[in-house]
Amino acid sequence: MRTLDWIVFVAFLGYVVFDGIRRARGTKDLDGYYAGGRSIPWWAAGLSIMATQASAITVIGTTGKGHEGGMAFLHTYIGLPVAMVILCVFFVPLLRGAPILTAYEYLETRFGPVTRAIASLVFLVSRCAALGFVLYAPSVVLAAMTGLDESVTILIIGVLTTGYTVIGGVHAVVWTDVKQMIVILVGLAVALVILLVRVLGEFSLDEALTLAGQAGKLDALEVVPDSTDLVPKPHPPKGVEADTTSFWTENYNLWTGLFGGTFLMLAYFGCDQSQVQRILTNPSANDSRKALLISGFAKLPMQVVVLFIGVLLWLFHAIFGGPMWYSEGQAAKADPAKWAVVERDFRVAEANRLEKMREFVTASRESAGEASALEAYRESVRAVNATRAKARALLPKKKDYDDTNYIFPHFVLNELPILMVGLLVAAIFAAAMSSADSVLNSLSAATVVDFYKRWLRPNASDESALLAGRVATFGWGVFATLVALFVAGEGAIIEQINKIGSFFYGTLLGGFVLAMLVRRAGEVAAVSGLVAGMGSVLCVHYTLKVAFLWYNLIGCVAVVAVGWLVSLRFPNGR
Amino acid sequence: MKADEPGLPTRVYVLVIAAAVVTVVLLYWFTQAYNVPLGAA
Repeated sequence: MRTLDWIVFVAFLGYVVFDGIRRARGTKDLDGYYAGGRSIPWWAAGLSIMATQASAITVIGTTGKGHEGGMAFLHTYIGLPVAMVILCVFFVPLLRGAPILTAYEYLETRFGPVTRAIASLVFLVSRCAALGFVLYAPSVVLAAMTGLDESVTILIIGVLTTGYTVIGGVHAVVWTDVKQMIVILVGLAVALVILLVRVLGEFSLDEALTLAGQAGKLDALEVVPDSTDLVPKPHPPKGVEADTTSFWTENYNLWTGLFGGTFLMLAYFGCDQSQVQRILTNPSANDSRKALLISGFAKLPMQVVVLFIGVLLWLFHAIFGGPMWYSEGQAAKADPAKWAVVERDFRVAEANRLEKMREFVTASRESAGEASALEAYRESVRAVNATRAKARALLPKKKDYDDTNYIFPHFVLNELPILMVGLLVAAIFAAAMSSADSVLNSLSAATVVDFYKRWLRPNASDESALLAGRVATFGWGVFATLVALFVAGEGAIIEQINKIGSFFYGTLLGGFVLAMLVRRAGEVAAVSGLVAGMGSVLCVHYTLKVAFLWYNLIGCVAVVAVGWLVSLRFPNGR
Repeated sequence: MKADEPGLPTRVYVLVIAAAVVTVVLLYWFTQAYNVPLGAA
């Protein structure tokens, strides 16, 4: 990065911290610290909701996914507008019916204190494991971009985010998120325009889309599933090759997105405190609804654009050339002699792909020999993919190396003009901070409201409760930074905890759905349902081949079914 | 806090769903018009 880029980047960080800290005056008690005194306008809460979801890994990872796998990832978001409408109609009245500070407080009013404690604990465990990754994953990429050490980028994000969140509470979170979201959108728009100008300088839009589509990059909506076999298959024994394909194994098609995706979004926006907190900050229930509907309207088109940026990046690299492996750090771990041989093959394959690409476009324009030119082009794309697969095979096996997150940063550093690099690096930092601050504030809310004030110090004064809130935020910030510094890089164990934690979103959702649908369900039914929900998801995960998106639906259905059955024997009030 | 206020007009939700349906239909058209799965080498 050049000096001007550093100035843009540092100025942005300085402004965010200043803006967060000056919000401290709105925090005199827990209601101000965690719910913004119910005074935050809906549009700010709505942008904050979007910023929280748009983590740094979403910005760099989703563009990378577009580059590598095409637009298939979009299916995950198809259910989002449906989920937002359901939340507005059924969840918002529950969450805004009383002046609660965490989503799990509602569960106590409906079922009892044990249900609330279990739900809050599930949230705390799953989110605290994820928080280390929220800091670590972008820090690694940002270190490669800025030339700083990984531990320095972790400390920058960890210390600054913790600092302004401790002082300013949810006011700081929301108002910094608004600025961070604007920087993210401007950064993405700049990348889109530059990519369009460069790619459309070589081919027409229709030709560019045809080239990307013939390389299988434009699979934005898959209606027909790979398999219609509705019986899920078990995991084959170790070392045994078996066909485990069924309707439930495909990650990306309309049905997984519509049903699995809707349940994922319902659970994330309706039961995850890091998102629910935002809809508790508005003056009225309708303001909360409007905040949610911003994502309902904008998120799907935004994801289309982000993934399309990835596809344009692929075209850009196909036309102008790119590295065989986008992470230099990872590439350095391979045997240099073998790597050089594969790289030579890659350069030949890459040059051949460009030649075949141009021959196909010329054939299309002249309507002569189109079919054979097309097949030659598609074969050349397969050949490039095959050399990348060979390169991947040369990397050490002990870790699952992947350069997807480095593709967009590589473009930013090498192709964007001065100032724009600083802006884009700031945008990626912004995305990391806007997710981390929300999680910190919500972890603190669950700790203090659901445990400290509920069980330890019910009569704590406003001042001491607020102090506890600040101490909890600080503690979670230190914990997250330490996890990112010392544990997250080691991979396996913490990654597993993170993954398993996210399995229980559907179970949390089930608790709320049980509260709405089964009036006779009480504490015994709710606790039994929650335990059964978590057990069912773990059971499915370890025995059957089922795509992750379905776990939320399975967990939710298990909670409601078991909760209802138990309520027949132990109805509410007994 | 006004939790008991009437909800948003139904047409707002209809608009959100209609926008999503239009997006999905356009994506379907787009996929059909341009995408051809590549398959393995």
